[in-house]
Amino acid sequence: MATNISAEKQREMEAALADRIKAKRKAKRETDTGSTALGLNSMMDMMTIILVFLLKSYGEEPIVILPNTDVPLSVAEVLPKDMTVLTINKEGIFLVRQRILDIEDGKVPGNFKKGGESGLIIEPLENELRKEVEKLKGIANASGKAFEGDMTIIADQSTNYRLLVEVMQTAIGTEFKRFRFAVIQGSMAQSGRYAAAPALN
Amino acid sequence: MARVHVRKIEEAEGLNLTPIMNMVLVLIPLMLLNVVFMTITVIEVTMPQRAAGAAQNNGEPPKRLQLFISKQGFTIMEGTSIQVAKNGCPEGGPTICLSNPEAELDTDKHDWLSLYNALMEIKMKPDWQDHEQIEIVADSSVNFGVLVKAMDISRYQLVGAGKDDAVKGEVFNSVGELNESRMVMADGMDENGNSVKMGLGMFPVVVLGLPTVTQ
Repeated sequence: MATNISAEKQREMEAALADRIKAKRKAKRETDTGSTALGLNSMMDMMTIILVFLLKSYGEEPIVILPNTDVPLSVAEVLPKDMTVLTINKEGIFLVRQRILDIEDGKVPGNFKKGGESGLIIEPLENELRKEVEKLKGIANASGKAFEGDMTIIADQSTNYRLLVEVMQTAIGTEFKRFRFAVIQGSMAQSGRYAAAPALN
Repeated sequence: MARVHVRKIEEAEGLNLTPIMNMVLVLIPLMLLNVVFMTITVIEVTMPQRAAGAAQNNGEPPKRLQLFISKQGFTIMEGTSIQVAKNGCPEGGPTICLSNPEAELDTDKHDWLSLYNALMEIKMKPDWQDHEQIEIVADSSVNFGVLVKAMDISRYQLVGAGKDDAVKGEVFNSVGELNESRMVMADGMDENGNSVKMGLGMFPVVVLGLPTVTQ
């Protein structure tokens, strides 16, 4: 008798359990098919914030570093201003983004310079800079300011001093007076090295 | 009837954000790839105009501090006298010779510690303490990285880590100390006339000279 009751009870319990499982499955099915939209609101908020932040930081940089340019690190703290940007990298010399001429083995070929190999004035660059100065003077006149002749030079870490001086002398000849070298802010230990340099030993 | 009503409300509630989400998802990786998480700063330099010539201070030659950089080291010219080789460097050679000639990068070969100390010692002399200009001349083959480091070393007065209230720079005993150093902070003005804290200069005005011949 006792075993009968317990067997009946067990059956009842099994039936109850089966019902519960069925109910659970049904509930699950309902939630699966019933709700169509995922809760994306918080993700949208996050994305919007990131997008605004990126748009802001993208827009405010007055200087764009061209690819293939290893700009050295420095402890300098003055922030750049919007002005004529000249880039010297391993491939060539660029005025803003326009390629002016190619560099071979870190040198400007002699036939591009006034006075050949030993010359300091790079002719194609001089012509382009003269046009740029005319344009800048026009803008300065229109806005009632004086033309200041500021230039920012972004140079690759491997640029030799000779080339740097040639570029600056050419610019001086076209009425640029003040120069700024663009660098990436770093610590004293990193100064003079570049971001992708081999590790310090 | 009631069921239809409920359905209408549900439809009106959910805005279809899928196109916006698609756009945002494309824009974010694109901008993340483009954005450079680095602060770009500038070093101001001048170069003598070719037309500019003779000294203007009553016929006296101007007081000049010159630093010559070559592949062999640094030569310092204080006024009219060239500093002789120090710290066991070979006589007749540069004032400061290379400390690590085997290094892979040119920047790591030079003895920056001795250069900083030599310049700081000059700055500490009474007749040089108000002098602000340094003329840097380099060999044709010296690279831009070395030039930038030379300017960093000569432009600022530095102190050891932790000495935040120092008013003057100090000399260092080891490269480690120099690498850990920070600028002496002083009150200054930015371009808009606001007072800001900025690094105290050692010889902050850099004039670049024409290159010497490569040896």
